[in-house]
Amino acid sequence: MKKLYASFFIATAYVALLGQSIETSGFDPKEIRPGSTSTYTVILKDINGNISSDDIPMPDGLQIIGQSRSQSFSMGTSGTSSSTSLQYTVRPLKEGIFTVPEWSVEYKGKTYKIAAATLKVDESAPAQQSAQPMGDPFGMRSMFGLPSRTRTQSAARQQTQSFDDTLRSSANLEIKLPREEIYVGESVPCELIFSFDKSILRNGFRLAQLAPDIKKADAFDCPAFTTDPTVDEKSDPDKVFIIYHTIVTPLKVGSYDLDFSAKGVFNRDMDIDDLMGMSLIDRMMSMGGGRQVPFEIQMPAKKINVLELPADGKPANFTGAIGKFSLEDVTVDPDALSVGDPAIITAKLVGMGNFGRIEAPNLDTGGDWKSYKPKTSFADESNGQAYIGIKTFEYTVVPTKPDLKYAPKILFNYFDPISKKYVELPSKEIPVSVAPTGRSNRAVQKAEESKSAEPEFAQILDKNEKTHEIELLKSPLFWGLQVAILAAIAFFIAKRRRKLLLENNPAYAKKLAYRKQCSAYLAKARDDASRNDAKAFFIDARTALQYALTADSERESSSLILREAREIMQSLALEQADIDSANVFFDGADAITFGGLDVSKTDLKELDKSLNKLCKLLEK
Amino acid sequence: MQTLRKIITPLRMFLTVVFLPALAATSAAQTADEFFALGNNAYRNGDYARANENYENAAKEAPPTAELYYNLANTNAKLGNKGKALLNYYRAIYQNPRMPEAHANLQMFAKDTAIDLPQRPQIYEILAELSEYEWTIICFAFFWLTILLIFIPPLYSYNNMATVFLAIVSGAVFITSVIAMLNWRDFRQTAISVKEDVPLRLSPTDAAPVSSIVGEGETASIERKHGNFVHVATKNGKRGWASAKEFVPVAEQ
Repeated sequence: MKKLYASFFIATAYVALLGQSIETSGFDPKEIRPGSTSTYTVILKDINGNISSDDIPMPDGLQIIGQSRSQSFSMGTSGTSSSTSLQYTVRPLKEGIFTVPEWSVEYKGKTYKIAAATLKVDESAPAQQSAQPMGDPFGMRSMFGLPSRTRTQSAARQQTQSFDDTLRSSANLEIKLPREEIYVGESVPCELIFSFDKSILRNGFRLAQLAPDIKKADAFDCPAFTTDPTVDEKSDPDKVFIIYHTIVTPLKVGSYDLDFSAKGVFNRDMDIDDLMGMSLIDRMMSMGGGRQVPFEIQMPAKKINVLELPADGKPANFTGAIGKFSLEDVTVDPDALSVGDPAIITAKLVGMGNFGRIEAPNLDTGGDWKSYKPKTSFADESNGQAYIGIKTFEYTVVPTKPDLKYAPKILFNYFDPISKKYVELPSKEIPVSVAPTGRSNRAVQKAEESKSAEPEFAQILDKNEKTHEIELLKSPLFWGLQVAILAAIAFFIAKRRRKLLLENNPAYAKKLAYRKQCSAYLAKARDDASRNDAKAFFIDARTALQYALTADSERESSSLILREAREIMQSLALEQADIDSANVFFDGADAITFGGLDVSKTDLKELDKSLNKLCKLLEK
Repeated sequence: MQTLRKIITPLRMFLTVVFLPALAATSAAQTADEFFALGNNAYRNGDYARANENYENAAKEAPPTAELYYNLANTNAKLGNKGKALLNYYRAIYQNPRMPEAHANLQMFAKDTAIDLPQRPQIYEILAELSEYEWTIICFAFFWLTILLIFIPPLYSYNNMATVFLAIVSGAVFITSVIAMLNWRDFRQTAISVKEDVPLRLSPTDAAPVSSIVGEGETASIERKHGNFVHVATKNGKRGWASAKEFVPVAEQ
């Protein structure tokens, strides 16, 4: 029985192996009009894999603009078999007959041959029609009120086509260069701007991938795009801009088209229409995934005029540097040596320009120094663009004569594309001492010095003494204390000054005392008014007024009579109504005593208000 | 006895439940002092990289002390990190200007590594005997004393020469302390390049062109700040924006 099972499995595996193949069903439709699209299909039988569109030898004039993948399974007596269909949407760039030649693909060490296929692009081709009805021979979908698969697939394809059209009409790729004319070998920073309509995002799509690329690589060198592009969604209400920075270096003199393209994928979550257009297996396979719409966009070619470097004024030993540079930190080590001893001259070149094309500048040895080919290294400071950075040159030089005073100068030069002039930038003279033979005195002295100054940092501190700094000026507590001190001092001074005034100025003391008395009698009068004690109210009101009127004069308050009170008020330029209002307070008490005032008709609270007003006027 | 046991047993359980995790938590985390001691051990064993790591950890755990900066400087000197060693000697001196070890090692280190330390007038060296913290206290104390000496005696009619003289002396101490504070402020505004070839840029961004470069251990004064960049001016006249991670200010932010 075991043998029987084993034979069965071997036979099944063998059949399955025999069944593995990759074939093509060619183009569908085989004849199209220019501007239309056709589908080139590759079918993988019993192979679960994928084929990159770059592996297909598409003829010139045919462009793959999209790719989709579907898989189906079938179960039979010989076991389960699967079929993966890879569909590549192609668009012709011109009219003609295009043939994809027979090609082969390697998969798991096995080579599969795929037959040739031909597509005819002609104006006289029949208009594209929707796919033949299939998959619902008995009309079951329409019976249950479901849209037919043909119709939904067609709708989905139309949606994709419509999305492609929207993208094509709204997306744009452009390049921004600082100048239209650039020099051959010059590194020019530029911006590649991909833009598309925000309506694409509103339709639920998001940009899942974008890869810019340069065409015409023989005329221009474009080493790398920034990996982290700038996304600008604010500068235009309807557009999204994705900005890549790169460096373009023209390689040939002449007028050439600078041609960029970008491939990418828009993605969005599956909706019900997408699912309706799929087979059951596809639905299961696409669970949790999204709908992907690949695209490729071509930049309108930009004509660039590439100039040759001017011959006028070009140094004989031109380094090839184009940009803006400066020579920093030129050092010689050691600077005290003997004839025949090597020294290293190190020069650091900083700035911005075509660092990759700069040759090591020559040395002005004057025949007194032997020099060797320099070592160069570059530290990029422009995120991999090699446009800004530090280029280090290390020259090994050997003096051939004694008593040389200076190390060889570095004869650096560059071309400035802004001023359109060559700039000579020799290094400064660095003094050296070259002894005739053996080690120089200075070198010996230096070595002795370095020996005696051997670092001794063995002493470390054992205790962490907490002597850390507290920044007082940043402490709110400190500033709070200062404010408190200021307030205390101000309070003290004010109090002391008041006391001194009281002691030394009787008029001021009297004024303060009388005002205090006035306030006290006003309070008493208010109390009397609330108790409706008319007699007491008028007595207290009169006293309060007497104090208020005599506070600024030498008069005693108790002896002040109405006439004098009116005179004082007139001298203070009070209004007549206010002056008259004082009469009732001066005469009120006596009037009650002698029956001249009917208390029952008097509103004491109103009178109290009037009294307060009058006293306030007098205080002012 | 039974009743007492009934009370004590749950109490003991309660105390165990409450305090045991607290004790465990205390023993799990290392303190700055422990890292400091670990650093010292590693240093004495010649494992400077480990010592440096422990001192760095100590600095993260608590505000670094002058002693910690000093030991960190020694470790970096041993490791050959010229810029960091110089920076930490400066920081130790800033925290505690009367630390003779830091001054001595700084001089020795500068001599060994051919670093030209900025030379300042003698008066500033004298003023730097007290820390910025001490000068701040003196400044404010003498400011208030001067105010009191000017305003209080007239209020009590003590307008004699003695109070005037005291006010003048107090004012002079106040002015001196202001000068000393400004001196420390300048010191605080110093930055040290802690790596070789620090690029000085034309604007405070990573993509800005490099105007010049500065070697490790070079001292510069900070002119202004912008984000993580500092605009520095070296004594050789080089100016530009540098990352605060590469040109580190003496005063920590």
